[in-house]
Amino acid sequence: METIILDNDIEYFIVKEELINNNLYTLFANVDDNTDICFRKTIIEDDGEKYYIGLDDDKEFDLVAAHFAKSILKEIDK
Amino acid sequence: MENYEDKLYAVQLERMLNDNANSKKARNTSIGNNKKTNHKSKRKNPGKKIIITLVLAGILTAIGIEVPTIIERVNYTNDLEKATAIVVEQATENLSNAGLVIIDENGNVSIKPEGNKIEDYAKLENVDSTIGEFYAYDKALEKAGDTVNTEFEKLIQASSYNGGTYNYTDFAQMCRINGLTNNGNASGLEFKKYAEQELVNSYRNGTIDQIMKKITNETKGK
Repeated sequence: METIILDNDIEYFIVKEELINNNLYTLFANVDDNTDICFRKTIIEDDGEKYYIGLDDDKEFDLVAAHFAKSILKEIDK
Repeated sequence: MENYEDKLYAVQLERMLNDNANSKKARNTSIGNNKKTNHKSKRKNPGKKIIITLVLAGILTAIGIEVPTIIERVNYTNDLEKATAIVVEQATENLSNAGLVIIDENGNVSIKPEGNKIEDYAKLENVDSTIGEFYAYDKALEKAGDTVNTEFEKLIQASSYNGGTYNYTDFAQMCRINGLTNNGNASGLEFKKYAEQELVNSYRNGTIDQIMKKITNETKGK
């Protein structure tokens, strides 16, 4: 599994990616505490480099969290 | 019984259950356009493993869904299933060794058609038995066909308490003596709840193998 150290200097698993409303969002989970999760979305800068950046607000967070929750529940139920 | 992964799962879950701020943490860590990391920082880490149910618990908590109770219930059910299997297996072996059930070559367990006598069950030497022990015998006899508890009642009547001074008269009296009542009346539900909790506790603290006394073939009567 891939991991990454995010801007808060914590190492996270890159758990899952989902396209939501034409944006690519990623779910991360702390490698030392899998209940410690967070989200980022991907942007492409002018230089062509891809970056994970934080979400805009609570509304975006709720939308993304609900989407990933449904997606993981579907996988667990298989 | 419990391996490293079970322990890691339990520790992380406990941490989440105790962390009241967890529901805000995910939000605070996720929101903010100034938080930026280049994709190139990704690396492969094959040595580490993820527990997806914990991830799900983290997400659900973050959006305000009460997860802890559900997860605790799932864990309880899993542990009860394992604990019950262990004690029922021993109970069945004891019953077989005491000549009270027959196990055929396919592993099917049955009681002889005419049933056992009360005094036959004395071979089990049930003195001051725990509720969990009685529960195990109840389940074992049920699997052998005792669906209306006729044989289980005989087992209870052959069991004694207070250091062997008195025999129980029946299941209802056993419940009353052991405080398994509801509004003063003997309660089968209280019996079940108490027994199951005893088994789960024993399983979790590693003493499940001590619940059942072992009856060997040498104690089998003619």
